[in-house]
Amino acid sequence: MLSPDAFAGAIALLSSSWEPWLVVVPGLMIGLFAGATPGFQVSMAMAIVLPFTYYMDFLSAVLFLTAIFTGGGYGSSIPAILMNIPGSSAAVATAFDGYPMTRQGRFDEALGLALGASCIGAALSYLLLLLVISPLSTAVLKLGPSELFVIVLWGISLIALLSAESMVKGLLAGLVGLLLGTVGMSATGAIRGTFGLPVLLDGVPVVPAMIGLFAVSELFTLLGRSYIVDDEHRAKVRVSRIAAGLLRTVRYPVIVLRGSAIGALVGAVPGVGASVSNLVSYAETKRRSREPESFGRGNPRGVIASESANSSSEGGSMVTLLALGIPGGAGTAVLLAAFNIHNVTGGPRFILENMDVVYAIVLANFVQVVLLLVLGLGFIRLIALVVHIPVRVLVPTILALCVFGAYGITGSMSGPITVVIAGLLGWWMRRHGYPVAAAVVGLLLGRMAEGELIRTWQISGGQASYLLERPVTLILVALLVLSLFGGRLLRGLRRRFLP
Amino acid sequence: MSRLLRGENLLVLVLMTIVGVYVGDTLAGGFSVGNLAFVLPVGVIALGLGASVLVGQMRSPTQCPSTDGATPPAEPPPSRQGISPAVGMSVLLVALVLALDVAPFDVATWLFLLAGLWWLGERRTWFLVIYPLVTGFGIALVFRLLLPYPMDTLI
Repeated sequence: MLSPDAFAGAIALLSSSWEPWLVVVPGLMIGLFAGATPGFQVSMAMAIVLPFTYYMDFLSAVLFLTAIFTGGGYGSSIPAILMNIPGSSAAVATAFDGYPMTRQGRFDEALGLALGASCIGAALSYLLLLLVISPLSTAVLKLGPSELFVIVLWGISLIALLSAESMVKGLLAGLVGLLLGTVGMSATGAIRGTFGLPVLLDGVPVVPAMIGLFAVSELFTLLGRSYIVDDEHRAKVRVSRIAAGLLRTVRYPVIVLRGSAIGALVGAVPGVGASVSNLVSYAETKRRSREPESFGRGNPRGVIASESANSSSEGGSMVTLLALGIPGGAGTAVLLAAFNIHNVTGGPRFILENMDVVYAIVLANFVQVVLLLVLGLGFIRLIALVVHIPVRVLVPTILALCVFGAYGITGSMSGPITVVIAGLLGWWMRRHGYPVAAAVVGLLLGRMAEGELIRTWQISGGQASYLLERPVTLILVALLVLSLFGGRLLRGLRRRFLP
Repeated sequence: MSRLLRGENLLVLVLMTIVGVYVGDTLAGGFSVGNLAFVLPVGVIALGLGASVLVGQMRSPTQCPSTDGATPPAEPPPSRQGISPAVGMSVLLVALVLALDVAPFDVATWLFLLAGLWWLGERRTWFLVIYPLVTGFGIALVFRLLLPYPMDTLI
């Protein structure tokens, strides 16, 4: 599967010049900072620095941007753990157990676990990318709109089940999110739900809505406390605990391997990626656990499952970008823009003709992972000091950052206005146990779900029998039904047959 | 009727209204498959779920309807302790967004931070003078340097 000539070419490319390496450390730092700052998206940071890549050669440009991507992947877990504010949708499941660990004073251990799982997950996914880029790209190409539609529904149902006290509440929040995700001009040209506002033609601004639903609503729930961690003793940042958390990751090899495999596979599906993979991995780990009731209450396995999956999605999404030229998400979309700047088009021909460059990207990412381990450790100490900031100072400051972050994304007041509306709605939802995470994932995937459903309709000509010819779709539907009703079915059977 | 317009019921009614209005607007846009294939079924299911929550609440106001009682609450509802500071911060946040349209970004942020700190209980004079000034103007300056959009600032 490996081409020795191309491999040697890659090593020659990476060792012939210092230039590609000079951009890696700054890239990782930018990614860590962007990921760890609520309201500042990693993809936004990548977009901001994109013009600088004009002055770099292609390999340096890609390494600079993937370093930001890698750093941001881990960075987004930091606010998820410390403040229950996922830096991106990829870290939603990290908050499920990471934040309860923080409330128990185990935030340093959780941050260490997240760093360990992120590094191993990213390394494994790039190893997988190295070995199977060609066959995997062929497999991804075979996924049709019906499969993608069911994958989206599966993702929504998983988060609805995982994050709510009741399935009905979770599904209601998820479906409202899905509908709001389709506001604006549809794929068929129909205009819906804009109420005459031109700004809504492109849909509800997703990132500002996410900032509002996650960050603002969570900040409001912090009010009434003095500190995020009230007990001063438990709020101490201890390097030994961070290192212990880091080392503890390797004690769960099955969870890390499973999370990495799920992340790489789901990450390879265009448009889905890390937003779904962290939830699938978390759900699977919880399902297989002997003590599923401990999840959501500070179980370290939950953090490892989520972080190994979202970090390995990076390697998976690089498969589709390199092999098909299709970005898996916002981050890879910026990478695609960098490809265009350098007149490079991803696809099978690119891989065939530039296998040495592909290998060089993969090998350099291994080095990035090691550097992330070192930089991440230093960065954790710095950023974990947030637990010592009084809530009365933290909340107004981060609210101001959220408003600026939203303005930065839309370039108009529509962003800040969306933040406020979504924040108040999210706070209200949280107060009554409705999961904002389900609404956010719905909002992110609504447009894609509708597009894939319409494409399925067009291809099938409206014939349901078409689905019978798609075994993968049927398997995914079975998994969806099992996710929704499997637990109830199992409990019913147990009640009936076991004393 | 008053029970229907309280607490969780009111939230569900608001969510159902959002869904109902959106589905209505979609229907007004035409009856083509492309327009309705996704929105109509999802809307109908959401309305059905909302109705089931309302019915459950009306029957048993102290208990939430749950089809999966074994799932632990991952996002526990916050206590009532933080309600009044939260309402105050909401008002300040709305004021900040409105102010950004008419005042320089740095000045609006400085005033928001000053008012927010005061509202949440900060009383150290030196801190109230220095922190909002440095942070407010600092945030605005950093974002003005980073963003390619026009930002009206005093400095």
